[in-house]
Amino acid sequence: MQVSSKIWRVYISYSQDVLDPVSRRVRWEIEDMGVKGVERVKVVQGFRLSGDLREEDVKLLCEELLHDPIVQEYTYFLEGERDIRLDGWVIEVRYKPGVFDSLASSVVEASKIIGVDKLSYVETFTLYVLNGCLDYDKVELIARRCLANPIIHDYKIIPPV
Amino acid sequence: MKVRTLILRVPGTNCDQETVEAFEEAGSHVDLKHINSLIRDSTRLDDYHIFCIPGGFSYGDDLGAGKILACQLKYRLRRPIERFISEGKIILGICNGFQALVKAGLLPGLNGAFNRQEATLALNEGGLFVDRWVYVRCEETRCKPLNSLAKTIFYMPVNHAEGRFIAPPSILDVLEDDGYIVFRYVDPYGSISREWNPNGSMNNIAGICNMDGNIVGLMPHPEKHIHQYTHPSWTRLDRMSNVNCLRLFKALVDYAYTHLA
Repeated sequence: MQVSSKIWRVYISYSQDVLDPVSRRVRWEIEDMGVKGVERVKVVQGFRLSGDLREEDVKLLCEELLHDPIVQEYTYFLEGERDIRLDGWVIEVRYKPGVFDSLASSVVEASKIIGVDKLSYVETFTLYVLNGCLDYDKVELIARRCLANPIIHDYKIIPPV
Repeated sequence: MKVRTLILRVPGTNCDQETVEAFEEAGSHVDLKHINSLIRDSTRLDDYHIFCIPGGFSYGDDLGAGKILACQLKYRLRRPIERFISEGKIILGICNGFQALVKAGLLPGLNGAFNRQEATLALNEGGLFVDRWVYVRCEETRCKPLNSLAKTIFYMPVNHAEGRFIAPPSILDVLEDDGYIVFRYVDPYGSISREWNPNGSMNNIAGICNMDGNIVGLMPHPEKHIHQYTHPSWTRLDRMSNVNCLRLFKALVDYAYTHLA
């Protein structure tokens, strides 16, 4: 398989048939802050993996480190070559530049244990996929007041297609 | 010969001292070792009869509770652990140790040790960390070291965010039918009850063992209730509530003394 220094994007989420308590809690939090119309929330943990990684390295990272095979599922793709469209309003929350990302640091360190030596840099982010009767202003309010901490996070809103 | 127990310490372990005390009180010689020293010289594990992975938040639990520790066991300590298991020696995982054993494929290990993960301890049903005391019933199972405690109801704390035991239906059936479920959350009278299940675990499962019964893990912390006065309300609790968990450690040490030492 060809070696690539491009960036691999990995999405991890709970399987459809398993209760995802985080997604449910986020929906409750949004309701508690008085925003109506959110019918479904899905939380997706995202990773951007940089380094001379082969596809089999990325698969091994997903299988052994990044996902729990019993309750979660994963998908990965090369950034720029393909994109996975998530169905609904998407809020992408990530650390501001300079904020220490302990999860990313753990991925780099743990990758060495499983024999993936070429992973040089990791960024993490969280995707909140919202469905329901929503508009940009509502989603922006949810992102600003509920999902992102303005001191350490940046966020981006991606409207549905 | 005195029973020798090794307690494993890794970055983030925080229940090691209580676990050392529990095994010492139970009559074992105990050594506390950091995982790096064990990786450097894995033959050290051969000197022990019981290997215990205590609770805590190993490696920050960043990638899921016990996940990185599971990788360490699987990739860097595989051979010594396989040797340890094949000799019938006992492995105990408490809380984070249990999570690591399950994620390393050592529990329940239906297809052999380290083969693949067959169950998990997912985020609690409520989505929050639980910190409370629970009643736990010891079952009659293939875990011979603990069979003398069958039907005993223990009282001990749980402190975890990821303790919801989940297994696919085919695996769960085997665990139920073939005596792999060593501990269940129960009410004060020993009945299985959803209200007394702190995390939404399937079938109120609090702990399981492997096929040979020499690897056992549980989410609650027996080492935190080896003296009845460690419960914050011990003067006001009735007698049954105060069944302390030292018996559990004694049962393991006694079994090791009789069969292994």
